[in-house]
Amino acid sequence: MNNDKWSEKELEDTLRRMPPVKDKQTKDELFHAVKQRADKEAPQRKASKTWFFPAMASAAALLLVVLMIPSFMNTGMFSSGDGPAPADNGGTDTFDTADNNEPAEENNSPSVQNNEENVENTNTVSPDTDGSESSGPEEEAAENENESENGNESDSVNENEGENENENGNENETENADENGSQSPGSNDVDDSENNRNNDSADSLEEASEEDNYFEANDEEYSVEEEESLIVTSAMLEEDEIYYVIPEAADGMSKEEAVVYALQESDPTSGSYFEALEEAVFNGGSSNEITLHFAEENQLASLSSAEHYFMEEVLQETLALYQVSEVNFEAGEEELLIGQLGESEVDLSTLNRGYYPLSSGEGLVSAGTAGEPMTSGTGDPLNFDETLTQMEEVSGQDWYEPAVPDTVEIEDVRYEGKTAYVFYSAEEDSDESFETFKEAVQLTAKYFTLDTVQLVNEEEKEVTLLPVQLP
Amino acid sequence: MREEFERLYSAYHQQLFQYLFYLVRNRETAEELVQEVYIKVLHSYEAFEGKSSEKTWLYSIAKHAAIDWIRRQSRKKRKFEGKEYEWSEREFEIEDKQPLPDEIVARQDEIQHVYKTMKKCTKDQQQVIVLRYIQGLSIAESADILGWSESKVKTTQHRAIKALQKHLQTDGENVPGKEGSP
Repeated sequence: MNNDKWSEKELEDTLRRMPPVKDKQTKDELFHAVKQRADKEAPQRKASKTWFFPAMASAAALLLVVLMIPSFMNTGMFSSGDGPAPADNGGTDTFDTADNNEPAEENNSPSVQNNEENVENTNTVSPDTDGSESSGPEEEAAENENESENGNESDSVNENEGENENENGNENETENADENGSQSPGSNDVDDSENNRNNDSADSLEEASEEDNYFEANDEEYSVEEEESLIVTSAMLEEDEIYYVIPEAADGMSKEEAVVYALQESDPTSGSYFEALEEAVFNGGSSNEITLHFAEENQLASLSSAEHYFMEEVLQETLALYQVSEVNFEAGEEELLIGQLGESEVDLSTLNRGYYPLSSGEGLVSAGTAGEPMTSGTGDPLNFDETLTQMEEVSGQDWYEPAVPDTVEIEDVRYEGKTAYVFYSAEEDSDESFETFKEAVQLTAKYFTLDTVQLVNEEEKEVTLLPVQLP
Repeated sequence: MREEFERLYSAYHQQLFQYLFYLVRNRETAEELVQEVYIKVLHSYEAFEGKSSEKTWLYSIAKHAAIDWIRRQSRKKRKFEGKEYEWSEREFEIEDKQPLPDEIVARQDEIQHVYKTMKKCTKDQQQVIVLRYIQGLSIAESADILGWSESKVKTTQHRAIKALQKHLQTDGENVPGKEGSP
C-alpha cells in the first residue's frame, strides 16, 4: 500500500464508518442477568461481615487473658521461684506489658536493631529525630547518605519485617490479629508508648504489600482505585513562550520508551528533527545521564538558536522528572553536535517542587517554570508534604491555579518506606479539578524517592493509588 | 428497578455496549461488563446529582468498568508470568487469541486494518478515538466522560490520528490494498 493513502481525512472517515456492534442479549435476558448478579452480590457482602465481629470479640478476649495472666504472676498469685516473671522487673509493675514497652521507650528495641541489620538501606525517608512523625523523603542523593545513624530514631514501621513476634511475645501476635482489621496505614506518628502497636501495624502492612497495598487486603473497608503511572509531553504557551506539560497515561511504557515518545510528541523543531531519535539509554550512575541516539542522517546540527532554546526547555520539562541531570546526543557511534554552538550535551536541573494547572486547562506548569517557591526558609528544597502545602496557593498569578482545589483539604501526609499517604477530605471528589489534583500530585512525587502515593479519604473510605515511577 | 432499567436500556444500551466492546475488543467481556455497569448504575442512581448529563455519567461508569477489567487482566498476567505487562499485555492476547468480530469481518479490508491497528495506540488515544469517531460524541461530552479538559481531548485526538496514521503506514506494505475500496 502506498504510504500516502492514509490522509488524516481518510482515516477519520474510516473510523466513522466502523460498524456498530450490537449486544445480542435481549432486554429480558439482560435484566434477568443483572438482577441475578445483583442479588448474588448483596448476600455475599453480608456473609463476609458475619465472622468479623465475633472474630474481633474473640481476639479481644484472648488479648485480655494474655495480658492478665502475667500480672497474676508478678503479684504473687503464682509466687514460685520458678515463675516466669523477669528478674529485672522488680516485681512492682502491675502489667507485664511494661516489659515490652520498656525497650520501646528507650527507642532502642533489640527487635528494631536486628531488623535494621537485615533491611539496611530500605528506609528512604528522613524521619524527625523525635520519632513522632516522619518527614518527607529526600532526593536521591540524600537517600544514599541515610543508611546509618537513623537507627534509633528511625521510623519503626519501615524496619520491622516479621521478627517482632519473636521479641515482643505473644501479646503482640494477639494484638496484631486484633488490629489488622482496623489499623490505618501510615499511623506511625503515634507516641512512643505505642511502638509495639506500630510494629504490629507494620507487620500487617508488610503482609499487605504482597497484595499490592494495605487497602486491597482490607477491601471491605476501603475502596481502592489504582491510577496509571503518568508520563508527560510538553508544549509551549505561544504568547509567553513558556513550556508546560501534558500528562498522559504511561500505558506500560518503560522510562526509555517514555522519553522517546515524549520528545517526539513535544518536538519543538521546525522540521520535526526529533523523528530521527531512535533510542534513549539511561547511563546509570550517580550523575543520572541519558544518551539520546539519533539516526546518522539528522538535521539537529542546523537548529536555530531559538529552536535550541526551545529544545532545552522541552528536555527540562520532559526528562528532569526521571532525575536526568545530563543529556548526551549521539548519532551512530559518535557525538552529535547540535545547534549553532555545536554542543553534544545539555545539563538539566533536577530540582522541581510541584506542578500547577494552567487556567486554560491545557496542562500543568512546573513550579520551576512558574517561579513558585521550591525551598524552605533555610534554603533547603521543600520536602513532599511542604510541597503539597505550597501547591495549595499560588503567588498572585492568574495564568495558572493552585493544584489543590478548594474542595479538597489535605489533612496529613505520612510515609511508609517509599510510599506517601496523603490523607485528605473532599467535599466532592469526582470533578475535573480532582483529576488534575491527582495528576499534579503524581508528577510532583516523581521528583522524590517515592514509588507510590496513596490518596486516602478516611471519611469516604476511599483510596486512590498513584504509582509514581516507571519501570 | 425494572422501570429504571427499561428507560436506560432503550435510551443508551446499544451505544454503551458498543463503547465497551471497542474498549475491551471482546463480545463476551463487553456483555459481562455492561451487566456490571447496570448493577452499579441501578445501585447508585439515587446518588446521581445531575452535575453531568445522565449519558456521560453512564459512560464514565462504563469507562471505569472497562479499565478495571483491563487492569485485572494485567494483574493476573503479571502474577502468572512474574512480569510487568500493562496495556500491551491485552494487545497481544487479542492479537493472538481473539478472532475479529463478525461485524468487522463483514467490512472492507481497510476497516479491518484500521480496527487491528487501533490497538497499537495508547489507551488514552484509543479512548478518544472510540468516543469521538466511532461513537460520535462531542468534545465536551468526551471531556466530561474522561474527566479531562476539552483541550486535552483535542490534543489527544490529534495525536491519536497521527499515531494511527504512523502505525498504518508502518504496517502498510503487509496489508491488502485500500485501492479496491469504494
